[in-house]
Amino acid sequence: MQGTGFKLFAVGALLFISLWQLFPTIQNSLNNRDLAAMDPAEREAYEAENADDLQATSEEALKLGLDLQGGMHVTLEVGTGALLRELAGNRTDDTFDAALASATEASVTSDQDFVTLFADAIEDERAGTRLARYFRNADADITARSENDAVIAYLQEEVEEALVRAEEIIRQRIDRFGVTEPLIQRQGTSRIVVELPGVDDEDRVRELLKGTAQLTFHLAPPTAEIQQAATNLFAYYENGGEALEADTTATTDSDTTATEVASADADTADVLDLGDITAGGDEAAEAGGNPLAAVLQRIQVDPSSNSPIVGQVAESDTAEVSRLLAAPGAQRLIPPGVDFLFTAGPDAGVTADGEGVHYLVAVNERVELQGEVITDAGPDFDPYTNAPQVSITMDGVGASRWSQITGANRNKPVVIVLDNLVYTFPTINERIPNGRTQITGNFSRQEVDDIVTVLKSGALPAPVSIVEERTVGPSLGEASIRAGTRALLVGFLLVCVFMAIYYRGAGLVANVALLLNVLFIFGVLASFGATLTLPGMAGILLTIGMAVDANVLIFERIREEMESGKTLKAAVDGGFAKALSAIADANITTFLIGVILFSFGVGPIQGFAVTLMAGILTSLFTALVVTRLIIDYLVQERGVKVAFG
Amino acid sequence: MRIFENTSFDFLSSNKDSYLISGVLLLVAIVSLIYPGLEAGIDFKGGTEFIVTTETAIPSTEAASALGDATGEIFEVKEYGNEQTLLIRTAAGGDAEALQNTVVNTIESSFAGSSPRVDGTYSVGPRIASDLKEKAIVLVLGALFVILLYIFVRFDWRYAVAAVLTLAHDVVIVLGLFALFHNVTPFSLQIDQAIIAALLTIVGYSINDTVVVFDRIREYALLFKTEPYAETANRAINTTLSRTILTSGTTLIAVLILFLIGGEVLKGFSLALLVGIAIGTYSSIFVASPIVVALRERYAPARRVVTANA
Repeated sequence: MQGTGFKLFAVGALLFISLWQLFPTIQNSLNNRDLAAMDPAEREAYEAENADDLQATSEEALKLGLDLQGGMHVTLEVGTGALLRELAGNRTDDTFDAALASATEASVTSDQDFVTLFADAIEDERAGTRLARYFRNADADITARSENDAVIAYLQEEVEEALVRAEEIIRQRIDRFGVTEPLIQRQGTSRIVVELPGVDDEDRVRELLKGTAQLTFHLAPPTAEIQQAATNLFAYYENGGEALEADTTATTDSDTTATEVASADADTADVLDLGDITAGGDEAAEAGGNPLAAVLQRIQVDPSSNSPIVGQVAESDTAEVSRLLAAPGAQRLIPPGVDFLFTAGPDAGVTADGEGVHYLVAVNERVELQGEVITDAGPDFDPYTNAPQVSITMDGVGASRWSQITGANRNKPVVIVLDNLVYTFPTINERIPNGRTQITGNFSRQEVDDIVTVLKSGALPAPVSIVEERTVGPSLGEASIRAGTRALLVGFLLVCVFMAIYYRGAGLVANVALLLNVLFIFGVLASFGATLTLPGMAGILLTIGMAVDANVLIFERIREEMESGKTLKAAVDGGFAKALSAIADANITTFLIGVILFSFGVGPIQGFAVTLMAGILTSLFTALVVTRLIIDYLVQERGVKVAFG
Repeated sequence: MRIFENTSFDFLSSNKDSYLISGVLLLVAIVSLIYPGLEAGIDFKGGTEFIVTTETAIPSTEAASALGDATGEIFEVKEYGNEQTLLIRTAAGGDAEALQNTVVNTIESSFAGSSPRVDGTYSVGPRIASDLKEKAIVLVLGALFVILLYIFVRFDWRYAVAAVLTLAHDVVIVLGLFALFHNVTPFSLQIDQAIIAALLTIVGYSINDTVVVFDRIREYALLFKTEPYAETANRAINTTLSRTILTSGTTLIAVLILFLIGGEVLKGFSLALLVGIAIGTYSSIFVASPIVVALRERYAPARRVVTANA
């Protein structure tokens, strides 16, 4: 028996390493079980004391895929088109717009990077156009005389930089979110993949990732102007949306029965019955005649209150209101330089169904102050009401401008807009000289934290959209783990039973090898830091079924050899030798498949490929080495007549 | 205990029968692929999918029409494991958040007391979907090519051609099954990344079987040089029959367990494996070898001194 010592050593070493690698996983699940059994106070104390140890153990434990532990997987795409538009500034023209549109369309199916597609599109739109017409940057040496190639190179660099910055910003935002072991990775020329295990508050994460953090301060138009515009809009839609001819001396307060709002900011939590909005006695004389009145409830305000509020909308109707307001006829009725924006939160209260109601607020388009002047942001509490608020500090330039604005606009509202949503519109009480301000507005503690996070990590260089997302809730994950584990156990048992019945003594030996096999697979996974997914568990189950194959090949050969009259020992030797080539061939092809799947698959598929490959290696090892060792030992040392069925 | 020992079935003269069976299966499969055709999962088509748990059982057809009425989009709703969990699918893209809210609100308002809760979402934009689709096609074709190359190197071109034809036969039949039954089964039979992985696994597994048989054929061809090739092949199949059936048997047991109790997520995947492994075994015996024999008889190798690799 050559090499027995070596073989024994190899098996022993592998066993030891596997157990060693798996130890953290076992310890981690024991920890979790203990923690779950403690009551909250005890648990917190224990966690505080042993934070480092617990953390280290959980990091070294076998990672569970998102489909098993729950969590979010999001693929973000950086809006290269919007970035190009920003870089062009006010040099854009129709050709530019058309080229951008067709490049965006082409990018869905093309593999080329966006800048190249855009350059081609411009060429298609108007041949011979110089790209330098749209893009100038003195620092980067791009002047009116720059060649197209130079401009393309410059643009590609900008896009690359934007992507790197975006990744950094997103990483910062996620860090503050406090997720253990998030994964943030670039993918291709314009995508970033974010994986957050254990998180299932999708809305919050989406907002956090997408927000471009453009914070701006605006003033509001005079209340009378706002009210007139609102009246015109309602009248417009009252008449089915046709343009109004003569002067729009529409009805004023006297013949409406809408609500009166006393103060500018909303702390009255009205309970709205949605039924009121349609049937309520606004300008719409007959029910169902006015599409705008059906979704937007007009709020008449006292002109002296300086309130910028136009009306209120239920959350699910905001899209419809936006659509109605965007119609060209409606746009004409909104004074130039004025924008109508929704509040970010349900500041107007809730409907009877529990849906949030937002205010529609009129805002001057002109930006009085940019968010860049903010040097710091932090959570704070209102000294009187203890309500959570965001406290911001500005730099010198910002502070003096802010002082100007607040000085000149006392008793008027200043509207604070973040990502095109109105966060709050407090009335300026007095001049603020030092650039320190609070942003208040019915925030929860969590919302305050999120706003601070977004402000501090900075504005994203370009808008980011979510192009793929996958969320697995904890109960789904648990169901998967349960199902997977059960299938594995049952499958394993069945196969073992079968082997014992069919191959008798040798079958039992094969079962021992199979057990070691599974242990080794987990050990390999743990040592490579691989992630266990549900398809991964399927892969292990498949390996169990296929691992039998190698044993079958060997045992069948041994039987044949024995039938041709050889002694047990000779038959065993012959069997192992002859089966080798068939085993090798068969397993190599499956291994190749595993390699292919691993290189091209993502996420769960990769998990499957990994367990498949690991499984093949370990089953080869256990079948050839372990089984051999045991049988040799039994046959030669103990003279047992191992039955081969 | 032994089964299938010392068999001497005549596999190769039952050529006609097996060609008939394969022919019928292939025909049905190909027709199904044309109509009703394969249903692409949102991985490859784009769209959004929600797994929603409710307190009360909601019939899926009612849910689908309620959602369809509320949004004007087409929704596909299937039960997901138990009658209180629904898989809701739509090709509509756009904001997953808004869609999710719409779905929850509609179910809540249409079915009193249901208190729906979203347990999982999966949303794929059109660009990613077309990327994935491309990758999947490249993957499958690439794998077939790699296998072809490997068999060609290990054996010879006749074996390689036979192997690839056999694999194509397996893949087409499995896909045909999915096309034929995707509207019938209570669980999803859409083609997504997991199914592609299953197909590749079937390819890998089927080639295993095939290689074992080929290996024997080659071995016996060397041993029994004067025997007609067909007889040698027959003998090889008979002696490997026991092993082939056994390995397939144990693997099928494992996959059957996966299908029955492995959870909802892997239903389509495990069904693909189940059918694929069964067909793969059948084809290794009844399709691959006859093709090798036929090719060998038509394009016999030049007579020369026997070398190791025929």
